[in-house]
Amino acid sequence: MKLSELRRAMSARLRTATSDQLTAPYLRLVIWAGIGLLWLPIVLLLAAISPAARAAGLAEGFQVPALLAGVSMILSTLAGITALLIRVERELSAAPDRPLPRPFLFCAAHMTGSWLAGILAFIVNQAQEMPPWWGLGIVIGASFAGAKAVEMWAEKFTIGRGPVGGGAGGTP
Amino acid sequence: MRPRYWMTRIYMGLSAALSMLIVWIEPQSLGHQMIERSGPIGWPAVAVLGVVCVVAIVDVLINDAFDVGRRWHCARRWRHWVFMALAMGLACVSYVIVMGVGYTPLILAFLLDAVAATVIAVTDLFQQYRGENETE
Repeated sequence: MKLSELRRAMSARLRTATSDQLTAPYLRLVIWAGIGLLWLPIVLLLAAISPAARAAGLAEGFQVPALLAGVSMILSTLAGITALLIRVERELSAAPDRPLPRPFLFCAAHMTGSWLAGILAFIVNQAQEMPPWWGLGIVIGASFAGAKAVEMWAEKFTIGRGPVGGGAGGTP
Repeated sequence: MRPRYWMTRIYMGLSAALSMLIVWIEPQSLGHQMIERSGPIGWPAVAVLGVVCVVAIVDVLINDAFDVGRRWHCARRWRHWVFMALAMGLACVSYVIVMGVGYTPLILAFLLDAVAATVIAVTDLFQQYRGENETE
């Protein structure tokens, strides 16, 4: 495959259509399930760094500074917001005067993927004791990829089901 | 009408640029020492962040603050990405400092600037498309 074709294929893979699909009930279900799953690694992380776990020796070999985890979460949030802004820009450039469909759902879809991937990347980063900039790159890259993955998955999940509200980009 | 928040943007750019300048030229500063210890990627990353700060400042000067007869359309079009890059860079510096010494109040300044840059990026994106950001 030529480099230009590969670039086009990658670009097409990363782009999803501007649409009203974020209001679809299936997508709502997927996002709430994702938000539910999000708590699992957070609970594990909090349990691992809690004083009780350390006192009991359960967290031996897994020492996570809480502040570092907090800053990683901020980085993960910023990566998720970047992915969200790419999508918002596409929606606005398609129809500048139309309000965004369900903004809460819109944000939750990206932030769920971002936080979930970011936390998992941080845990891997700590377990492998990576150098600072490598760890940073992995957390940011995983968070951005997580947000894009949830967005693409959600679009694929709802494709062909028709727009709920109609409008720019929706299938007739 | 000129955008009312251009002063916020130039403050943001100057604040971040000053922070990076202190990190770069002041060997006694905590940021300098942490970047020094963080490995070979540290200084190139600080340099890139410095360039991003300069782009943000020059964008305000050319497009908003002074009537120089020309516009830097590219910077205006990509302004929200410049501020997102600024936010990400400041948060990265905070991460490196926390990884080196743990908590220090210095990171609060960096993180506050990162949050402000993110707010500016989101605001600018909406203003750009909602037609409230016209400078002419």
